[in-house]
Amino acid sequence: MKAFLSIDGVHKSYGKNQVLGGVYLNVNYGEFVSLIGHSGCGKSTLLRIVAGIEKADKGNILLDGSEITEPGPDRAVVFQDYGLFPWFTVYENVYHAVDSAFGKSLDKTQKKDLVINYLSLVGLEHHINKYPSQISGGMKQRVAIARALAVNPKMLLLDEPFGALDALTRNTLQDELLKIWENHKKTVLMVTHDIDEAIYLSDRIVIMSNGPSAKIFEIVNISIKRPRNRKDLLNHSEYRELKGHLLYTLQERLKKQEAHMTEKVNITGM
Amino acid sequence: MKETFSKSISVIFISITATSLIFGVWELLALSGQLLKIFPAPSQIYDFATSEIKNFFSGNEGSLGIGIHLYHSIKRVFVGFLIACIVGIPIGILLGFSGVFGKAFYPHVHILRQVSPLAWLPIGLALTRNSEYAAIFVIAICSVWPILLTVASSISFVPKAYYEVSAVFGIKGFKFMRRVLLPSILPQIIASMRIGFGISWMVIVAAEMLVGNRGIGYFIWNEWNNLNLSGVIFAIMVIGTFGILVDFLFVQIEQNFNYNRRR
Repeated sequence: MKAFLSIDGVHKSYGKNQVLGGVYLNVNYGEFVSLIGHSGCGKSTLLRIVAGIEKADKGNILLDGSEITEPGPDRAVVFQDYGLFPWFTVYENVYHAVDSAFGKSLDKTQKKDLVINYLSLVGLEHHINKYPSQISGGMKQRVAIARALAVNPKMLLLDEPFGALDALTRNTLQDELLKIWENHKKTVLMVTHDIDEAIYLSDRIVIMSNGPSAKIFEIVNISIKRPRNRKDLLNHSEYRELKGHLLYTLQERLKKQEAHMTEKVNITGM
Repeated sequence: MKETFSKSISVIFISITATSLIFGVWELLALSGQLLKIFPAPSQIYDFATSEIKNFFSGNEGSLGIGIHLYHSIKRVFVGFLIACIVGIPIGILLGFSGVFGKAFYPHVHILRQVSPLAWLPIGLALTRNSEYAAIFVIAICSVWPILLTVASSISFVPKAYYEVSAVFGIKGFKFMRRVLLPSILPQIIASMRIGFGISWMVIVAAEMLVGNRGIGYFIWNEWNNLNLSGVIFAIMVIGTFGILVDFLFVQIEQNFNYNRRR
């Protein structure tokens, strides 16, 4: 089967600092893939290149057969800091995205219904006329999720979507996202540094090596049955093994690789 | 709560005491003849002010009420300030947006904004050959720079995230300008208008002293020619009061557009 999203040899540098040194990754249709790695390893950069917000220096990315050159609503992004416009209400924040994404292919009532539907999906039907400053961080992120889903993207890009939330809200939103994803089967690429979150939500976890010149270090399959349930997960032996493996990889194996790389740099430096 | 209350009580107390003290000393000095003969005591200014306020809007030629003068000044300031906004805001946006234009024209703007209003007056008179228009020209050209510069710099403070979110969701072109860019710099536009208005209101007196036969600046000049300092001081108070009223209005509008405090 041909991959839905194929990332082919993506390189990215900021000045002399090479962040990504050749990333290759295929994501299948309807798959939930998480990118995990140490901070500064370039996982967010990779996501932003897929979003089209940043351009790769080398390599290309195909989504559903066509090359990604610029940002667009076919790859809706949920940002860590929500990305809501404070002068718009909850409703308007979603509506203006829907309006721009669909243009004239939907009429006003259809757009309106769409917005209300997705805001109801995330449980915000009673808060549509509030401003972002009037709602909690968890609610803001719900608006952002509703907005991303409402534009009917080919895939969802989540950039540490729950990173700014407290633990309880984070859990609730993970549960809700999982439920929505299981119903909609959108293709998802998510950046996270939360191992539990990655295991709970993903089909595959992509571990990135430490920068500079980060590459994909390892891809871990999560075969825990769906629908998943947070309570059962803790008793799952596979969950414990995976968590152990991921922790070990992030804490020990990546470090060795780093030491190895430094050595190499020294040799070439001489 | 209690603490802030007692604090504001002491603020009011100190303010009133200090003001009364100043006026009291001034009154004593004036009455005992320590000041110049033409320098009025506060009580004399008060008498003058009450009689002026009584015929505030008097249209008697020769003894026009100060309200009429104020009206003419406000009219000129309003027109000049409006021109400054209409010219300054779009050009400010353009300069802020286009790095090339911005860099190319910042030297001009920064040189011109240093120029005193009085220096512009001959240019205005030469260009318009009409003292009324010249006054408006001076107001417009003095208040346009701070408006233009504040608006231009506000563009660079638009968070990168707004551009990214807009690009991701396809909000582009005119829609982006109208729904994202303008709302995001609106608070700074209003702040720039507040600064611009403050300058207009300062410039008007100087301009009217030289050109008008009506207006608060003319009123001051006329009172000075009559050696009536009570009139001058009264006019100063009127100017200050009106200025602070408009400033207060701008503050209210500014707060209304403080998106993060919206409740």
